[in-house]
Amino acid sequence: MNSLVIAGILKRFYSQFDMNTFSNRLRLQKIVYILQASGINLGYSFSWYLHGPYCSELTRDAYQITDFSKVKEVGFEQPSIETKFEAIKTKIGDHKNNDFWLEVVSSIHFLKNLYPNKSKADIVKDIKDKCLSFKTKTNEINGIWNEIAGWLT
Amino acid sequence: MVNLSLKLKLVLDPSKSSANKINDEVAKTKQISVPIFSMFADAFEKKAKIYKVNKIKKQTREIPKFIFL
Repeated sequence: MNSLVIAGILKRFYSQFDMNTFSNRLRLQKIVYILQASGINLGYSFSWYLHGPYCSELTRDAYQITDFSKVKEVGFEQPSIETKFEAIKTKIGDHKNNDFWLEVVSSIHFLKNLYPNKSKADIVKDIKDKCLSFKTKTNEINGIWNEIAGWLT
Repeated sequence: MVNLSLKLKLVLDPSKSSANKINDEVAKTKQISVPIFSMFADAFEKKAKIYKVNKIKKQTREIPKFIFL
């Protein structure tokens, strides 16, 4: 994937962005994952890592951009895909700045696809077990699960 | 049970190259319950369906075209 394209897509979410912080790198990963999970294929393959679905190629592409301020926003030639993108962007809304939400949403989707027969309780447990700070977040994770029901799950 | 000699004769005989003629001839034989051409047609139809499904799958995997806004 062309670095300018992926940066241009990201620009539609964040007016300012760089790869200097963990938080930004996580947002990049999860936003792209959620777009692909919603049916907009950007050509990246994700694997399961410590903070949920991750693609090293995506990180490499994003690092190619040295000055994000000069990046132009990118849209989709096909109107139906552009409409879909806008709908997803609206659904993500202010959660784009919520690293926990982004990580949980993408993790739920990833694990549900990987283990279609696993129960909700087991998947929630897997997500909680990922990270020490998630251990006490059962209610929050279940809340996010309900939030994305019918959309990503 | 398929009459192999009849099947070969129908395929190789140019005077019976018409699909309808083949189908009629085959249908006359009581040894074959399903006309050979019908079996071929079913196979083609199945392949066409598989191709269509794979084409739809491929389209959903294709990376869309982008434009700079």
